[in-house]
Amino acid sequence: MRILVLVPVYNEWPHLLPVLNGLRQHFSDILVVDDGSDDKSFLVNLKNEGFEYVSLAFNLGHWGAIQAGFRYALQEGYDGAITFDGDGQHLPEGAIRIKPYVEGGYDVVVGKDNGRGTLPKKVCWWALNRVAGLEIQDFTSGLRGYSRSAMNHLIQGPFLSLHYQDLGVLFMAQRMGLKMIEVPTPMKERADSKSKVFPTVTSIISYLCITLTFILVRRP
Amino acid sequence: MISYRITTTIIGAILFSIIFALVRRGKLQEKYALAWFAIGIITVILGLFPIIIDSIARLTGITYPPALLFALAAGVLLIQNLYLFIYSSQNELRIKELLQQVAVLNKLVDDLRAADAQKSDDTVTPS
Repeated sequence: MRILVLVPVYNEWPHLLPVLNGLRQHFSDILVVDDGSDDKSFLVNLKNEGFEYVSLAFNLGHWGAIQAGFRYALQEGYDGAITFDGDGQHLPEGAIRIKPYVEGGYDVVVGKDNGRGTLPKKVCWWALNRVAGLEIQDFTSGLRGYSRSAMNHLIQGPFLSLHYQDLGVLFMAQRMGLKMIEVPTPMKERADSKSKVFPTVTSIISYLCITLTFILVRRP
Repeated sequence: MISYRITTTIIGAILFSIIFALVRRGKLQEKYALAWFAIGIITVILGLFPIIIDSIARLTGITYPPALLFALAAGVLLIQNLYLFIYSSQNELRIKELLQQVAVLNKLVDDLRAADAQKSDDTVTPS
């Protein structure tokens, strides 16, 4: 089974090469997706180091970049893909844990980090899980495995209007009857505790509202 | 002082001619211009014959006819605005999909070029 590791990157070049070199020891097929980073000169470095990449002309957000990776994986006939953050938060061991589940016929494999999340965050996640009718403990995890048939679904229709690889994706995946599982994976603590995706309170609130709207209008 | 009917008619005529010019220069597509032409024509007609609004107001029991005019105008603008939002959402998704496909195709072209260069190198070396 051929599995492609997708590494979406947006202006995180300094962390990237060590991450990729770590991955390369375990995975032969790696694709970096440049999500419209400002500095494109690093792509030359990637090429010289022998890494494959696709580059988006402007920023689409984490999920949009991953979808571009899915399109490549589908085109090149891969049987599955594992998404892996380029900022050094994920460990190759996590991807190795996910791989057998993708090979074993699961459509969506979520790598969960048990040690993460403060109390308000956990309450919020619990509430969102209830609203979405899901039982996923760590739905913001970017470490995930997808089967080929999952990728085929995930590049179309409602999935295009999503911005993050999160609850919305899992909610729709469940509605489409994709087989899901959550797997505990080891993760590194982020060096800078501040979230890059949600730097401000406003961005969190707007994210919650958008996600809730997405789910509520589609709930069965 | 001129009649208010002349003022409103002139406003309608100006609106109509602006839309006409925009379509002519290709700034506004014909299918979107239709709604605006209709608005321009209706403004001219209502400007020339305000009696129309007055009689509709009387029929619908509205005592202050201009209120009917404002309500209608707000309704039309609301619908047009909603339409724009729909159109913009649709376009955003289309652009997203196209951008993703372009990125993949770019890589494919690069790979093919590299393979091609490799091949021509190989054929040159033996001779």
